[in-house]
Amino acid sequence: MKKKVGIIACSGEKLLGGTLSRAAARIVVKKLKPHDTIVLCQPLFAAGGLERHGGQQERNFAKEHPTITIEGCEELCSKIAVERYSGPVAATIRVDEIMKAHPEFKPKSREDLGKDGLKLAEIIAEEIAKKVDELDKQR
Amino acid sequence: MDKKLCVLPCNGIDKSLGVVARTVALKLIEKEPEMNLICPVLLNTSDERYETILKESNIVIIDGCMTRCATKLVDERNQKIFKRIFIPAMSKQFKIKPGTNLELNENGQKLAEKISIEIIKELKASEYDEISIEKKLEEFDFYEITVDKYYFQVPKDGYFFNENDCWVKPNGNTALIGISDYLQNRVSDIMFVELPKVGTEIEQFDDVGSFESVKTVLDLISPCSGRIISVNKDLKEHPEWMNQDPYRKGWFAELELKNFDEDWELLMDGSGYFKYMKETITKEKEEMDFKN
Repeated sequence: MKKKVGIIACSGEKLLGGTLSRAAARIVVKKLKPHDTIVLCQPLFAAGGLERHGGQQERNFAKEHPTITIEGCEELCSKIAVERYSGPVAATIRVDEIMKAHPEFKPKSREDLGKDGLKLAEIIAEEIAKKVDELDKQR
Repeated sequence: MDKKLCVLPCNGIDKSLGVVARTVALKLIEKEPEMNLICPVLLNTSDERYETILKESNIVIIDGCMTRCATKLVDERNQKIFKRIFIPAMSKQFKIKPGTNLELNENGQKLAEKISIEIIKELKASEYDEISIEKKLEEFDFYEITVDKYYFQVPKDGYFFNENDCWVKPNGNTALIGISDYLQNRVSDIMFVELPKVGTEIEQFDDVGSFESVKTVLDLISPCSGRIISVNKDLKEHPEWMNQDPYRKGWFAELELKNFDEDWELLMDGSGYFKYMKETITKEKEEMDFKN
């Protein structure tokens, strides 16, 4: 059985990159690579899961599966969290860098990405999907 | 506002309830710009950023689902709590279901708006909530399996299961019934329950009530026959107990057993059900891989 790839988005509350990272992660998991990927909830990763279940599900998943982090900014919160609780990450996607590379798309706001923002999320999602394919070839 | 306040939403990504939590927080800071927003992700990786704010503020915690991540992040600190919000409970209070879509629909937006208004009202009244502490229950042994990031438990002793993933726990001539950990995992966050009427006579495999999650509505199929002698009324207020603790606090109803000696023949014990559940999970996973 092929191991799924974990996708963990920064999900940051305070910045546009967080909203874009959430949207891109959803596109990958629901649309582009639904059978190859699984979304890891970053807050759940940080807080630990249900005590009854040992509180480590998301963290254990990232220990045993390749995991791609999607970072909204230079803080690299997802990477730090994965390295702290699980181990090295398989790849990191920088949303802020992709935003810089596509100045033609101007997302509306942190709350509402708007048409441009959604297009940007699609572009980020495609980058993530490429990484998933690369990881697949390496295995 | 006399006191400084900050808000910490769970900000969950994989459930609509987490998205509602996030939206409530964003609406709060829009309505009360002096309120500080705490990002749970940044708080976890770099909490010194929030040191001063947290020291000087009371906090509004917003949890989207029963794993209560925001609460866990705060409980590690000695933080003054102004209000704890649990989105499924608020959904019930306002009778608004947010749906399952991760992009909030009209109802999800409406729910977030109503919750934010409710919080602001309480802010103005400056009333402090009591923090409830859940009672620890006895521990018992489980069979356990992890699939991807999901974790499933089956009690080793004392419980019997039907193929509908419902359990019965007999005790003399009475028994408790409920749903398995596997079923609660599949349906996700349970938000409403419809309990049976006390006194109802039921046959084995009859529907004895229903429960509704963010994903679906299902009937609980009784593993045994008998007469309902009590129901877990607390589930009306705390349907999430069926997710959090399906084998204990999440019990659904109590029956006076009618014919358990015969009913038992069509049930599986913990070991048998664990094997059955593992086969089901493996089959589901293989089907998913095959589609791929």
